[in-house]
Amino acid sequence: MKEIVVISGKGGVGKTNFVASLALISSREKRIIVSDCDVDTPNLHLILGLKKILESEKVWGREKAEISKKCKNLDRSKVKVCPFGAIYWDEKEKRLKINKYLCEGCGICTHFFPKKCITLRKSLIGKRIVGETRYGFKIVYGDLKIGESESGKIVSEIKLKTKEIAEKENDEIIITDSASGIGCPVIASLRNSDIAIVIFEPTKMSFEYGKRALEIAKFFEIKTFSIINKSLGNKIEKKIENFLRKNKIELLGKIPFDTKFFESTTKGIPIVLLDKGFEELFIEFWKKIKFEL
Amino acid sequence: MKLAVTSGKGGVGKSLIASAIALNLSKKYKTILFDADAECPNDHLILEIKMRKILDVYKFYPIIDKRKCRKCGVCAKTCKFNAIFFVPGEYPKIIKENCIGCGACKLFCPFNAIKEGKEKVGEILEGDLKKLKVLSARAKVGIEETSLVIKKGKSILQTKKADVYITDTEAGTHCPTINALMGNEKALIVVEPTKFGIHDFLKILKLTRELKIEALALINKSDIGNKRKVYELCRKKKVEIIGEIPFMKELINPTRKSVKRIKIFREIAERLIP
Repeated sequence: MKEIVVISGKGGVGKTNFVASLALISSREKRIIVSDCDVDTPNLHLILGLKKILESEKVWGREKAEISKKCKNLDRSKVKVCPFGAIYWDEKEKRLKINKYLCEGCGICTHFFPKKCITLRKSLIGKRIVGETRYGFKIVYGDLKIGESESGKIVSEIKLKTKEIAEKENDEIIITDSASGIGCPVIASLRNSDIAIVIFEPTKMSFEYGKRALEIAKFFEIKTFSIINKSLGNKIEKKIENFLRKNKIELLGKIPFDTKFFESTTKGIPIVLLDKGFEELFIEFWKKIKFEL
Repeated sequence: MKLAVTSGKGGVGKSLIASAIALNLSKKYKTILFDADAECPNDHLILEIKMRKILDVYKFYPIIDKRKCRKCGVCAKTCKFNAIFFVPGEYPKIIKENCIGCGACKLFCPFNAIKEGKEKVGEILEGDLKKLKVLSARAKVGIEETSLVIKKGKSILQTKKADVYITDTEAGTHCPTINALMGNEKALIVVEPTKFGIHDFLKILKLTRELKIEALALINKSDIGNKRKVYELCRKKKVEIIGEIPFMKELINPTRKSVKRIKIFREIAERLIP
């Protein structure tokens, strides 16, 4: 079993559509499963379409502190004890409160208030969902609750679950849609994978942060490919190509800029099903990737 | 005015729109643009501004001072994150990857045996373009403490006097976005009228409501997808749509020149401060 992870650095360069299209093409020859590690805004299931949800499991995170409503006469100067600035005075209710978005669960506050006034409770950070896509293969994705910081944790949970299913069902390939950015969730997405594909678009911003995403892949010593999406043949595109050549990162190919992509993401249909030319292009990509596997 | 420019989905044009609004408003008002998209700060690239570092952001982690440590284990008991491993009779071991830098161990060590270690997690940069000041938070690759870098940037922002503060947030609805949003009066949500864009728009709208920040919507690439659906949703949710920007090929790779040239940006800026 091999895992391919698609990353980008900058958001909105076309990761999800790429993953969906590659999944469709590769699933013609191999048993595959896909996972969406972009837990903040999971979109892969929207483009692949869910036939049914097979499993939905709650994921619990760190504890969060709460101040009891009954404790009205607490010392206001104690807002300072929280190193994250989560304790505040609520003028309307005339009592101390904790901002749940800022609380990290360190428990320092519990040492400064009467025991009955403060409680630490495990918080629900989101759900891990297993579903069956319109195209037959399975998908594992996470849905993080608003305002959660532990996306790294839920990403690891998704990866574990995907591997577990893949092993049980003898899937040959896992294709993972990573979170964008260059932070902790991306690291968690890349961990223990075999191939990374970095998606660029020909813009300064994508170049800058795609490079950083490459650094992470390099750190894990994963075989890395690249793609230039929305190809325009402009100056910055040449720069990206030169950079890739110099750093010996194989360019799988370029995907031309085409307004059909808008249709694809509006209707929720992977680009390879909308256009023969794109289908052939992805068959070419798949051949190169398969060779590496 | 304190305005955040935000979105659920990435790559919908947040940085471009924040930069364009700030540039236009800076002609009339003293304006600061805070680029709080710390994993991917872009605004200075669009506006072509040279940035200089003004400070490093550090995270605390504990170092055991072996001359003072009596191996009591209080630090390990205090730590909620399993970042201190203690076996009786031995010095406590620090597991740095688990540490979130709260400092509880240092605070409660009865022998004052924990020294402050510092790990760099990011930096704050500053740059100027005529009357516009740009402040930018940049997180180091692969760190978990993006929010810490944003908070630091915000505290510096608060020391600077201006008429208009524009904050460009990260995409999504997680902690770094929340930290950037908090304290703003209004949030301008950039929405792309695609299936993804609309799905993520609803998430970020819910967040702004929870934070009690007034939400406005701006449709970017308005001619590519299902614009009507966004209008319908906004009517139902009572969100004012401040304008729409059609898809323009020259904005795929925006430059300061293109930002200056395009009239729509000026009109949107004027609508924000009548």
